[in-house]
Amino acid sequence: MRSLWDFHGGIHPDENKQQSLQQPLADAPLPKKVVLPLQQHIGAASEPIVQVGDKVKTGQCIAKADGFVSANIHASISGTVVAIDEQPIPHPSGMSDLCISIESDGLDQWVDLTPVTDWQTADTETLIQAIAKAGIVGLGGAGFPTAVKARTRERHAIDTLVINAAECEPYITADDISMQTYPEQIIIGAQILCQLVNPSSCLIGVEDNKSDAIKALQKAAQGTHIEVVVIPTKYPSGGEKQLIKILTGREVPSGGLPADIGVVCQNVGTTLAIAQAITLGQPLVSRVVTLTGNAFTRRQNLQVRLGTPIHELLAYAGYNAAIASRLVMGGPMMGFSLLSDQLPVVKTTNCILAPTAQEFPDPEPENPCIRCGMCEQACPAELLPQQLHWFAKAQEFEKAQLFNLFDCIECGACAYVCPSHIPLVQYYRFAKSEIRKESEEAKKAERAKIRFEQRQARLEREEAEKVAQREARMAAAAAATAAKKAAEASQSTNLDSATGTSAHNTAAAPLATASHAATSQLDEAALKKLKIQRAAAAVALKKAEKALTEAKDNGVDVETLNTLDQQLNAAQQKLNTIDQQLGKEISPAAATSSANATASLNAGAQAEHEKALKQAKIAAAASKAAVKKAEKALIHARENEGVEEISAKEQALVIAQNLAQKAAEKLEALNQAPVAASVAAPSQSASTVEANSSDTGQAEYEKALKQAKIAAAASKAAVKKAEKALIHARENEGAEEISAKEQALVIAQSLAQKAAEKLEALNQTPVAASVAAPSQPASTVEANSSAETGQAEYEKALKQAKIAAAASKAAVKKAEKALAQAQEKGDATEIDQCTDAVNSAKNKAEAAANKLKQLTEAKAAIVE
Amino acid sequence: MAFIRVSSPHLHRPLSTHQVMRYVILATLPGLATLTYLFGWGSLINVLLASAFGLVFEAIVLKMRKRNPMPALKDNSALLTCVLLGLALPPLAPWWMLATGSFVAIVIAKQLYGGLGNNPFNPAMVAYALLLIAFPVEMTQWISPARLLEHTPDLVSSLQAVFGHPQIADAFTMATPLDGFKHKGELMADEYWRQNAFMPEKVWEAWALSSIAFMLGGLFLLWKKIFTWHIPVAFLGSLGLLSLLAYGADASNFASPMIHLFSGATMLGAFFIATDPVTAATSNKGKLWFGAGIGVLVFVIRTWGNYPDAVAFSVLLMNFAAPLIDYYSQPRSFGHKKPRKGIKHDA
Repeated sequence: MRSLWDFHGGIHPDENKQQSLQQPLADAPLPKKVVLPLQQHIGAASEPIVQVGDKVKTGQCIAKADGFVSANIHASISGTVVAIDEQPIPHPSGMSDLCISIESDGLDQWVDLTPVTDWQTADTETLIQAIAKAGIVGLGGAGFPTAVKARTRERHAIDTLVINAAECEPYITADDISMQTYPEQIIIGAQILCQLVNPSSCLIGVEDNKSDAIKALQKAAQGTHIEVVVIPTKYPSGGEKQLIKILTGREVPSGGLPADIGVVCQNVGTTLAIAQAITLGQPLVSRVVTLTGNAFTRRQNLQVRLGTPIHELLAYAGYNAAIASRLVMGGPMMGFSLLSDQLPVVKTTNCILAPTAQEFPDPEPENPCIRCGMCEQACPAELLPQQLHWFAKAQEFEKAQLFNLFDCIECGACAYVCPSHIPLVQYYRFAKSEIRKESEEAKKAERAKIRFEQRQARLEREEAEKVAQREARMAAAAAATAAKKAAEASQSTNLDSATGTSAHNTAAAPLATASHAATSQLDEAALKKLKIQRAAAAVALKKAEKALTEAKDNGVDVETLNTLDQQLNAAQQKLNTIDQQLGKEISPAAATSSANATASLNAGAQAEHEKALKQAKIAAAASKAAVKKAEKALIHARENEGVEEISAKEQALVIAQNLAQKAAEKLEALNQAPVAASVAAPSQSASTVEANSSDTGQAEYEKALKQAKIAAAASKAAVKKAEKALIHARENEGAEEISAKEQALVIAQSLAQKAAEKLEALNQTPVAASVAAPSQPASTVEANSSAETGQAEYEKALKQAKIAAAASKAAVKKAEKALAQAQEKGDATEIDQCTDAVNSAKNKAEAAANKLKQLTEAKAAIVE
Repeated sequence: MAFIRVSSPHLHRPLSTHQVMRYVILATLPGLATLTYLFGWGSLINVLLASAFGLVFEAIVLKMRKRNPMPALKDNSALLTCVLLGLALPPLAPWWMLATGSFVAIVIAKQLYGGLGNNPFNPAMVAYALLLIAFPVEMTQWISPARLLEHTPDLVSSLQAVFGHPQIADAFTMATPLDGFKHKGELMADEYWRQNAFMPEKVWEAWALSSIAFMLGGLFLLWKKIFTWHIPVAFLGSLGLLSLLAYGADASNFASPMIHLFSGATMLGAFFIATDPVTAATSNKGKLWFGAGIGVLVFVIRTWGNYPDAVAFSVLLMNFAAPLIDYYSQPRSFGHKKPRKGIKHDA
């Protein structure tokens, strides 16, 4: 006698198995029409391989397994495919799914079956292929594709094969009758499985309430190494984990598989199907279904073709709708109630239960939990069901998980014993689905975050490349300057032959530059090509992003999302590679274009321009100072004053910022003006004087550049300071301080940005001019036209300065008004602050006025 | 037939809350009968009066909470609480004490916390503790066993005593064994027993008999699987062990384990009070801690505290500890190597 183990808890509901065991197993009448869902198993739905209108024979494969974890589906009758569409399927939610409908021709013509006759000597792969071809899935309830399970040995060391024949659910006798009817075939099936799994022992676990089945099996198993183990009747001993514990004493680890502890478990019905598939070549087109419950007049087990509509079975079994309390698919403990009888029998349908109200009364109202702990005594997973119930009810899902909610097998033992009639399993299902939803959303968010970061990195890279290009251009400009100097030197060489040799050496430099430029031009074709490629890659990236978004919105499964993610990454990488190539190509190209640029500069206009530029710079600096003061006042106000003061100061700041913006724009305009001038000037003959004057302009420009650089550095320092202050505020201070400092930082950053832009503008502008100037100076006419342009620019500057002055005056007035209000209120600090604000506004106004004055004076000078 | 959507399981064991409560009430009957036989009508009047008050209070408070009182009245939980309170109070307690006790138990300790299932403290013991603190004299006057008296108070005089003539009851009362032992002063134990010649046999016998009656009722509930053995065994075990150690060390100053286990409210407490599932710890391991804690506290308070008996205070103190015990006494779930302790994630 083999020693058995016990599992914690369990219950002993009335078995009610005898009702359906009075009759032998019989064939159900052939259905007129079958509806075969494409998903009757765990894993991916099958892929239909027939079309509407096709004639099919019984046993013909009509849908192929799609992916590794999936299963074939076969026509269960011969006839015509009449539809491939959404039909209601047996599911607790009452949902619909894609199904293939076949109308019977009444002939039940089978395809030619190809058994594996020499299965004792056949190799593993042949047997597994035959099982997969037959579309066999776990018939116990889960519907896991059997062929996949049969490959367990490829990844795990297995020592025990368990055939689950416990059938612990009350009422159901499908396995019982199968064992009584086909004991030899079941033993053959077990032997085939042994050949696949190669265990040291094979145990068939049967509950002791099936004495006929036990006898039949024991007789059939004689002479084999297969052992029929009789176990005590207790629900849920037929649970996979529980049965393994009973037979081997081992516990499947939480979240693990039986294979982790060296066990493979197969349902006895599945074992029979395997035997029929191998020895007869018969695919899974029917299964044994128990029809029981007192609302049937004929309670018995039937061999039912898959896809048979339930109402046909009900009619056959003498179903009395008047006395039925509900219709259940599966057993009374874990089965689900059906919302219609227009549903097909599927591979996992082991029982149709039609109880009367005496058998299954309507559920009693839920009473409060009194923590009696009866559920805990019944729980086979050794959980604390009532604690889980409290957590689920309070939506404390994290605690529920900590109390091992996911080890719950939903056997219903807790709800069975609960004296308060609490539908505990329903609470656990709710909590589980909520937790799954949450984690799914967290995964989505994580994916979105990664994508965002990748995009951010890409943008940064692009920005960095732009900067690199700019630097390349600057380098080119420097080279051009050197070339100019060399030209000058060579000119002087003509005058003084004594120094000729050395000057000639210097002159070699521009020649070299020129030759380099020539080779760069050759690359342009390649560059163009790369640019086209880049555009294509960018389009691909966008497409991939769009597809991913759509997929997420439509809620497709995780695998598809992952694939799309990968596609997106691939597209991004391609783009990056091209970008890098492009970056390499662009540097010489930029040099080429810079070197080739031609323009001339009129000395007078340049001088005018420099003057206006200087003035504009002063104005810009003044307005920046005003902005800073206003900011300071605002920050101060935020810290110390009321809402009105703050808003007044905010307005003052906005005005000051606008002024600063305008000043900056003007400066920008002036900076760009010479570009226009230089572009306008056609290339003509040179004179030494003009070259010299050009040099003066160059000196002026260098000065401006220096100043701009200083300004840029200062503003960068300001940004850094503001950042530091912000970090400090985040660490030590309240929300208000933080937001004030954040704003200060933003302002500082925008100032820095502007300074950088100005610097950039200065960098780019005169280069072209200075390069071309010595060799090709302009004529007087053009000089005049250039001067006119300068004049127009000046007028524009003047106008802007006037506007600025007016605006700052308005600011002064507003600040004064605020001061007056503060004085009325009589708050000393407020008055002080408003006085400060007025003063700063006044300063600003003064600065604006000064600027205006300067501009006017400048005009006077020009007129003179 | 309508196609109804019902969540599995579809089968249900025919045992409901009201039946559980009824079983517990039935199980108190041997104890109640013994008390009535040995100490007169007092306990029976207590139980009936307290129950009547309790049901009325329950109905009123549910009306005030805008709930239908009928399902709650039918679940027998208020009835059980008041039966236990009536058994715990001294026989012939004045009616207003029963009314106050029922009010505190049902309205304050139970319904104000949200009703059945939501009260953190044992309602009967909250009421008992309140009465003990508020009316210490009335609460420590226990009637003498009937057989010691020349004429026992009949039903009429018992009712008179309950309704307004407490002096009638005074004539029949005496100290309980625990109370007497507590106030023996400087006497050694054997001297005390010698001086109160009738005490060791007759009084002790009456208390022991009623304790055994309660124990039998409790064993019936164990057999019916209304509760598990954990709390009573842990309670009686720890109390017995501690008193045995103390008695073994110094028999002249400590009460014997027999006195601890078979007098006072020990058996009533172990099988009917501490096992109240709502306020106890929930896992098997937790129930062991919970019961053992009560046993220890009972011994400590009886031996060194100010009160002769200590079941009410001990149970209330362990009620406080029950949620903590629950967090730290989770069972090892199937497929796990060891049980989880506390509610923090594994490091």
